[in-house]
Amino acid sequence: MAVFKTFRFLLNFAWVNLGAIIGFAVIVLAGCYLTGVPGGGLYAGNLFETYYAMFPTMILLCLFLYAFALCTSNLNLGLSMGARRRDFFWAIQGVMLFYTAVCWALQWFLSVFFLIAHWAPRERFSLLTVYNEKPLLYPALCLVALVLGCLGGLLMTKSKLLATLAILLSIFVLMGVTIFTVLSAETGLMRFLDMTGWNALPQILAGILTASFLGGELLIWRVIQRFPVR
Amino acid sequence: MKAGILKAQGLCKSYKDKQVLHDLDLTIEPGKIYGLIGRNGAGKTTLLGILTAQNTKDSGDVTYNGQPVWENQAALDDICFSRELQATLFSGPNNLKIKHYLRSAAIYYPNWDPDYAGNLLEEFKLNQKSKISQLSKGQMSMVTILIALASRAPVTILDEPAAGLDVVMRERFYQLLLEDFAQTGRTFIVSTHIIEEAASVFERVIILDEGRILENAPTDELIDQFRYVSGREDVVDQVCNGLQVLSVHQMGRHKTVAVRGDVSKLAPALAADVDVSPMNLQNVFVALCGHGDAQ
Repeated sequence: MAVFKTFRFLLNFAWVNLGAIIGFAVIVLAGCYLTGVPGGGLYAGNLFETYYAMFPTMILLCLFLYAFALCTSNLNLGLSMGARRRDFFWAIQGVMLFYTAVCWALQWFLSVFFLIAHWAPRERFSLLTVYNEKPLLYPALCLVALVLGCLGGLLMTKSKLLATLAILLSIFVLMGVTIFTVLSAETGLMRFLDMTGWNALPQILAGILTASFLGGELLIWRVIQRFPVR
Repeated sequence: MKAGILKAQGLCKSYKDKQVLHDLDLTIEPGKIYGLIGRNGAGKTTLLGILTAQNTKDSGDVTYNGQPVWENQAALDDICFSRELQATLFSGPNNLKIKHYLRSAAIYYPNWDPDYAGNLLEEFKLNQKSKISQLSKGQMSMVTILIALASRAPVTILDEPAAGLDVVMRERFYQLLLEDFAQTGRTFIVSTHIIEEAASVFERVIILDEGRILENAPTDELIDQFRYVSGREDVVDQVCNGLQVLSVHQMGRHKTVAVRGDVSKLAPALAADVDVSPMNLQNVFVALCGHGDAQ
C-alpha cells in the first residue's frame, strides 16, 4: 500500500531522531552515576540530576521540534518524489504514534529506574512519577506536542507571524498542562480549586488538549492538501 | 517501461492577483524528448509542478492515461519531476543530505536503478553525505540529473538541469540523456534557459510566454518557419511583404528583420540584394518572446 511507502520514508528520519533522544537519556544516566547523583548528599542538585528530573518535559520539546521538520523538509521531499498527500497525512499519524510509544516507554523507564536502582529520594523527581499516576496523560501530551509541532512547521511555510503565534500557543498549552499536573500532585492546588469553585479546571485543561489535538489535525490535513512543493 | 499520455486541459493558476497560467492546453506524447523554454516568470516551473501534482491549480484538468494525476498513485509512480534544488528551504539552510534524496527516491520510484545511481554518483564525484546547503550550484544540478536519470520513470521531467553546470558537464548531460532515451525510449521534458546547446536534443519544443503556450511543435519544423532577412530597407520591405515580421533591427538604411511564414515566398529574395539566413532555436525564441527587450 502506498501509505506504507511514505511511512518507511518517514521512519528513515524518525530512527535518527529517536536515537538522539535515547542517546541523550543514556548520557544523562551515565552522567548521574559519574557525578554521584544516586547517592545524594553533596552532589545533589547538579545538572545531570536536573536533566533526569526534567526529562519528560525535554522529550516534549524534542518531539515538538522533530514534528516541525516532519511537516516542512520531510513533507517537501516526500511530495517532490511523488507521495500522495493523504498518504503523507496518515503516515504522519503512524510516525507520531511510534514516537509517542517510544517516548512513553522511555518516560516510564526513567520514572521507575531510580526507584529500582535505590537512588536517594529526591523531591524534584516527582514530575517523573506524577505521570505514572495519570498514565494516559503523558502519551496525550506527546501527541499534542507532535501535532502542534507539525502545525507550527506547516504554518512557518505560509507565514512567520502565524507560526510564531502557533509556537507560543503550543508552549502555553504544553507548559501549562505540565505545571498544573505537577502542582496538583505536589501541592494543595486541587483543594484550593474546590474551595474557589474552579474544580472543573482539570476537565477544562483536558478539553484544551483535546481541542488542540483535533483542531491541529484538521489544519494539518487541510494545509497538506494544498502544500506547494518548493 | 511504457509511458502514457500526460495531458493538461484548460489549466489556470494564479498567485494572489497575478495570473500565471491562462487556460493552458498541453499534450505530452510518450517516447519523445520535449524542451520547455520560456523567459523568467513565464510559468514553466508552475506548469511542471501542476502536471506532476506537486502544485495545486485553480481550474482545469491534468490527466495521465486518461486518469487524473492528483492523488493518483499509479500516475505518480510513472512520473519523476526532478526540480532545481535549493540551498535554503523555508528560511533556513537545506540540511538534507544527498543520501536522503537517494534513499527517498529508492522508496518512491518503482523503477529506481541503484547501480546506475551509484555510477552517476561516482562519475559526478558527489559525496552522498554532503548537505545540499553545502553544494555548489553545479553540484545541485548534478543531483537533479542523477535522480531524474536513475529514477527510470516513464515520464521524467527535469527543471533547469543545466543551471550552474560547466560546458563539459552540460555536454555530458546531453549525452547521458540521449543514451538513456535510446535505451529506454521514455518521455523526457527538459526545461532550460541554455537553448541553443539543448536544441539538438529536443524532438519537440514547447515555448511558454506569460502563462500561455506560444508554440508546441517539432523543433526542426518550427525553426524552418523562421528566417532573418537583411539588406537595404526598401528591398527588405518588399521581399517580406506577406510574411509575419517578428522583429526589426535598423542601422541607417540597412535593415534586418526576423520573419515567419512560408519561406518559399522568400525565393525572390535570392535574386534581390538581400541576405536570407536561417535562425536557430534561440533566435526563434528571442523573436517570439523578446517583446523588444533584446533590442
